Amino acid sequence: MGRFYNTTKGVIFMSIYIVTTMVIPYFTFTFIKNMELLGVAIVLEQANYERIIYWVSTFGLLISSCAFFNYSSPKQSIRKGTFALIQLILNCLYIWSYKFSGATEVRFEIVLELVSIGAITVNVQNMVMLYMGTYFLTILLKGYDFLDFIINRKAIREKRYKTTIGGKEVS
Amino acid sequence: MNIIRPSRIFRTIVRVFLLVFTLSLSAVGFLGGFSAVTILDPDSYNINVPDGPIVANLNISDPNSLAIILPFNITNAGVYDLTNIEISLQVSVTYGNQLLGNASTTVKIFDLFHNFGTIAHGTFLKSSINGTATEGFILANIPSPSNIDLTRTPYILEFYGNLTFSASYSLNLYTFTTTILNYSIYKLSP
Repeated sequence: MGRFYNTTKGVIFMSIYIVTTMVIPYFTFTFIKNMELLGVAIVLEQANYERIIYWVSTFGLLISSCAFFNYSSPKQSIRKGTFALIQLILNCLYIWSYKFSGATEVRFEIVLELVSIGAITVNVQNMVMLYMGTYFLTILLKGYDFLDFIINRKAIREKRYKTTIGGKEVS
Repeated sequence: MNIIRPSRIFRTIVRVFLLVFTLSLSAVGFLGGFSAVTILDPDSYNINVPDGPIVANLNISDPNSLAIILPFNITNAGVYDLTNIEISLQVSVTYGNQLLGNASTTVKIFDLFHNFGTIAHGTFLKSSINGTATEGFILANIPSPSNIDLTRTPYILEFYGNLTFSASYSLNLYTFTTTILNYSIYKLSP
């Protein structure tokens, strides 16, 4: 696989991560910022909205740039292992940012005729914690990959750079 | 011939497990979101708290006759059970307190919390919260008629309610709480 293939793969995955970690959350929170339910305005507080968007964008950018380096690196290389591990840790921080930015417990003010008459609070903390559990298992797997790439480096390199003539291996 | 290293086989097995786990989680999340949209659809009126007028006897001159009936109707149109359904109602009264120089005073006279358990998906719960002098009303806080300023304007007595409705969803992964504050129940004019 050539450099062009790896770079293209990196760009494609970076684009996917930009869409999933930044664009979709941005439009979702912007959409729910001002809703109307049964004729009553349901409003997400501006400060909460800005804090959520800030943290989601920050970690989204870091994850997307890491995704480029991860997916443009050669398969089973130490570089790939390193960036995959960094990306995963950033993913965890990204998920965690939903908690500390207040996105796991979103509070909407119920506004009727410009007066707040109550609030709707949606708590998705348990869901986020479950995702964190999955990411933790994936971190273990990436750590395992990293060790595997180091321990079996010779075998990986031999396989990667083996010479073939007419589809047959030459040893 | 390509020989797959044993370490890669182990990795693939764990990776498949993680993929299935993550996909399941995403499916649960998606269905939960879809159900929330279905239940909260403004045209469907699935959650009606209160469902009709609140019936109340707030004659504080006869504390034993005090009563509040809050009807509600919740339809679970989603794909998961609605669990830990809790409804609480507090009522406070504002009046001119003669003991304090007719200063406006607000006291909580009613506080009732009820857990209605679970509503299975596709079913509904039509019930009511019933408060009586012996259940819910805080008789010690009810102002004595002799201490009420009867000349207070624009109202002698103002009754306000705080209503809280909460429930969990998607295998308890989502919890939502709706609070309505200072809902005007009744106002007594001079």
